[in-house]
Amino acid sequence: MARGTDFIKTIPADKKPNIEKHSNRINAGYEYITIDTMLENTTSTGDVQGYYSLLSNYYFTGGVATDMVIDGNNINTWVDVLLTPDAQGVFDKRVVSMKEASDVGHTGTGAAGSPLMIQLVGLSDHAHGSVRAALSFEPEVDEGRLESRVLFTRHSTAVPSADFSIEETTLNMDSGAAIDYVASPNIAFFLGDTISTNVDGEAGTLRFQVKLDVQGILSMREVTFFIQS
Amino acid sequence: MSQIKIYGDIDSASIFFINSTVTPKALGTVVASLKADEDRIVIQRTDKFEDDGVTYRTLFKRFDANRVCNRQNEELVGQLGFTTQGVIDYINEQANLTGSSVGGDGTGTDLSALTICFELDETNTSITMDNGYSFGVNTIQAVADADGTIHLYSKQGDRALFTTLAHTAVCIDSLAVSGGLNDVVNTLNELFTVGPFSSVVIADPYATMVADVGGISAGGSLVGTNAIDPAGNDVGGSTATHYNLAGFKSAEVINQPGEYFTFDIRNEGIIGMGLVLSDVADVNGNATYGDPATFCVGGTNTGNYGYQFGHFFHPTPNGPWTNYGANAAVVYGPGWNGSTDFRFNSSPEGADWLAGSPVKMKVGLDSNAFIEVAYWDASESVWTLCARSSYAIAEGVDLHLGVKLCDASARLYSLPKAHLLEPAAPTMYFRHIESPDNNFEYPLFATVEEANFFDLNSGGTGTSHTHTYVDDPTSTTWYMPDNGGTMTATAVPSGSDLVFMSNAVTYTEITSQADADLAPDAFTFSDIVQAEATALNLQLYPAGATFSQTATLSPTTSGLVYNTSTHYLQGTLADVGADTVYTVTVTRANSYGSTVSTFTITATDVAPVSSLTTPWTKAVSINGANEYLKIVHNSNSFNIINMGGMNNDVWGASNGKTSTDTDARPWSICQVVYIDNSQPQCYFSQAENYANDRISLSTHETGASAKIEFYWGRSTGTNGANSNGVQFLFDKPSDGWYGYYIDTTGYRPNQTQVTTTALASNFRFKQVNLSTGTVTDITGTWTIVGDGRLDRGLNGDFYVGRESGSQSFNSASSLKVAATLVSTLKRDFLLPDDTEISMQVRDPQQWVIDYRDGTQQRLAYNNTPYSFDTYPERCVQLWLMGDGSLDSYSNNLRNDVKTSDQNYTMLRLQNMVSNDIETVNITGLT
Repeated sequence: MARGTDFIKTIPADKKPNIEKHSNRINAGYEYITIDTMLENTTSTGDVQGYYSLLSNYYFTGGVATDMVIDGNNINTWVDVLLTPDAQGVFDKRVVSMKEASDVGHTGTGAAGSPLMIQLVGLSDHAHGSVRAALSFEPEVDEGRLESRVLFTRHSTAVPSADFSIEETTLNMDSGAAIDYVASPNIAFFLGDTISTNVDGEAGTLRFQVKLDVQGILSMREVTFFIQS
Repeated sequence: MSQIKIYGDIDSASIFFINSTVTPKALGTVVASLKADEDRIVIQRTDKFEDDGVTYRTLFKRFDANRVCNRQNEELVGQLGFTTQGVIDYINEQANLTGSSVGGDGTGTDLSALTICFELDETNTSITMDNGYSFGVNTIQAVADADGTIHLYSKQGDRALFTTLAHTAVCIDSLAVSGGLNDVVNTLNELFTVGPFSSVVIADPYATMVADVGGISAGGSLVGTNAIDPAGNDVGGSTATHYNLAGFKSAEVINQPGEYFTFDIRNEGIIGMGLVLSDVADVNGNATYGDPATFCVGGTNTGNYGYQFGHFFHPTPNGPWTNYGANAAVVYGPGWNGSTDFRFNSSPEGADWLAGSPVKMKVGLDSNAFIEVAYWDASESVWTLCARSSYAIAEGVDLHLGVKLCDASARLYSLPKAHLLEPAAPTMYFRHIESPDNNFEYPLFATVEEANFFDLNSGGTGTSHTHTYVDDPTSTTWYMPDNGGTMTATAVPSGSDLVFMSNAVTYTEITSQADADLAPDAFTFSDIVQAEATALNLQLYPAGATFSQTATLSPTTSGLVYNTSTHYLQGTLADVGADTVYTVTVTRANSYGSTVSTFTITATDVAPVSSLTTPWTKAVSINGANEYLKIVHNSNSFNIINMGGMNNDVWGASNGKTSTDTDARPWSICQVVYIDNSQPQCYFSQAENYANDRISLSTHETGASAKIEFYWGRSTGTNGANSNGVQFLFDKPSDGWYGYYIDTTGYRPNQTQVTTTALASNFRFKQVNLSTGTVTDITGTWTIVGDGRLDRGLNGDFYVGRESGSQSFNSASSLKVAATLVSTLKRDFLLPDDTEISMQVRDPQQWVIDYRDGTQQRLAYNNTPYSFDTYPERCVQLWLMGDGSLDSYSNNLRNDVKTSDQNYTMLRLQNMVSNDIETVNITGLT
């Protein structure tokens, strides 16, 4: 929890801390201490911010992103991206509460039929965050469009219970077909009470999806969930 | 996967990619090419480049040709049989359309898959095609191409606009065009030049080759190392996929148009069907491919070897696929890319083939010696052409059937048969005619051989008869078999009519004119204007004509009669009172219909040329109370009706002569006047002042029962009533010009002598018909007024338009007088007869010549004759009322027998104006 700020609020009013200019010290009413010391004693970075990142081989030896064919069967519809995390590509820097709530940050393999779904369990409705993806797309046809979204599932007692999403238009690809268009969509959101932690071990999930109106090759490099609890 | 419609559009100068994300691009900025590593199409735009500044930007990276449709939404590959390269060519063509090229690349747009209907717009200035194109008339032309189809070219520059239009796929105004290739071309060119396209005479009829439909075994055997006779009913198959290692080649050959092979195939596989030459020297095209020795002997894996022309079915399009051979130039048939009603791959036969059931095929030479491959449409009982060579096989070339079995699925199911022409059968050109409208006669042949052959094979003994048709513009003698023909059908040949000796027959229509065209030409004649009384003799019927004709006239009073035997309109135009129009209606008829036309004859009302000496062009108009004419001197020597001023009684006469009494002074008077029933009129008066004596002719009455009064005697005071004298009253006639005559024997009774009987016998009142000169008596009533004396002296003046010398006549009076003649009559002399009276009234100048000049006449005062020529004015006073040689407003009216006399017998125009001398036209006189 946010113990650091609670601590500051407990200092008596007649003993307001004075911050010496150009010093890294704060007078807590009794004696000067360093801020670092104060923060060390009162909170943890891991308690309030973190990230959860799933990287393909694109960033590692070999440098190959996970390709996905967008053909006549899956254009003009939302599709789960294919992303095979590299063996070294899972960075679990979630906040402590999330780790305490679940040992694993996602489910699914990122292969067809098994989308990567990041868990939100451990986050209260004070939290917010964003999902960033890194990708490229080589269209077969010019003048296409790529849209992105984060699709949320809600916790078990949420009303309404249906999934919802936050969407954006990511790319208007009008510089020709057969070339790579790169993009890093970044969708921010807050933890509303239908996706935040409901009971211990149970909350909503999110996953990243795209929609294209032209055929081509989608190459997923990474998906990262930035967390602010 | 969705289909994408790609087409160029001249109007917007764009090429469209409908149902894709790609927006239209400008014409000339798009290029399609084959993808290097797969059977896909790359489409690029040439107006933008990739980062390297060199490479065209790609619109479609790997486009599937199967997805491409044309503007009509027809799939180029699936429906129209295009290859990938064909689609590429199509896209490039569409991307480079120009207004002048239509097809874009100057080679013309292929119409082989289409039926095209042509029309002229309502103003006959544009030719429209139902595939969306239009051209101005006289700007395009149709040409019969060597490939047996119609090509359309611009007239200027001969630029190819459209190609390979089948002549059987042409319609005009929604009606199929009849005839062979050249006929359809001729018809189109007539349409393109706004000519009589519907009357193009068919000179290139369909030919029917009478072949042996039952056929004979074509013999032959399987060829090639892969060829096997599979177990079961199949005749041939292949052990593996190869285009030249398994097949069947017939032993029999065909070598004449109309001969063909038939056989059955089954199973979805790659199979080629075509003709194999007997002699490599006959190859048309690639001699290596066409060498019959290479048929199914292996080598390069291609279908070309061994075939002059071969057509192949393939599993992918479920039927017709491509062509191979020495010369694979093709004309598509409806079984390949026609409408779905005809295509093999959408037909029941196509389904049978896929299902492994046998389908009958035909490979042979059509009537034009093109190699044709067709399938038998069992439901319609017709062969449906899949493809044919675009070139003809030379005369006398022997050709074997060759069937290539190119994979393990394809099967030859039955042993082929050869169908050779019947040795005795001529080439048959079946025709029908519609004559007259809605009556159809067939079959008709141009030669007796065809007709007799038909008859012989239709239950007869080989005889025929001839027909000619008036509505056949060629006037050809046609031959009809005595058996199997009809002259009373109500529709074109159909059903069993279209089969002869089991051969399908295509009829060609004999161009015939519509009934309306055969009805007699409408009579034409210019309207006629002729004077009345003109004799006419008009020929209304052309010599040698055979139609019937009637003519009527309205109104019927023209005086003309139509002679139904000679067909002349004859007679003399009636006299008319005014120009009169007669309408002549001429009706012509024959068995095809009738025509009605009219013309008019106008009879003009003209004045006849007068034969009279007297001019009769002028009259004096006397109107009102104060206008009148008066003789300038009241001497008894010059006033004839004063009768010498004597007051003695005079006995009369009853012997047709004047009185013998020495005191007798007989006289006559005649006038031509215009009787106006609406006006009081005084025609003449010899009168003293009022209340004294007068002799007058006048009327104070108007209307229907008005009377004219002749009065001799006295009256009472101003405008008083007649008091002592005699009166003769007669009916006032209707309005018009009249001539009258009055004379007296000289009879002047006293009061004891006067009787109405004596009066009636001593006075004559005559009317003269001004047109005919006929003289009739004027009947009336004599009345003795008062004492009835006529022996009182009379010393007044002669007046016209006034009764009394001292009082005015009726203020409403109106009188036109054209002539007045007063004459002495000799005593004891025959009164004038009708001839003289007629002349005296109608032609007084001639009367003077004929009856007075050079004669002895009584002078006005005297009782004995004297030389008329010495004192004509004392014997005769003739006033022509303006027609006299010296008459004028200033000269007054001279006595025509002595025009120089101004002092005695001239009539003075009293209170009159210059225009009172009027121009007149008097019927019968002028």
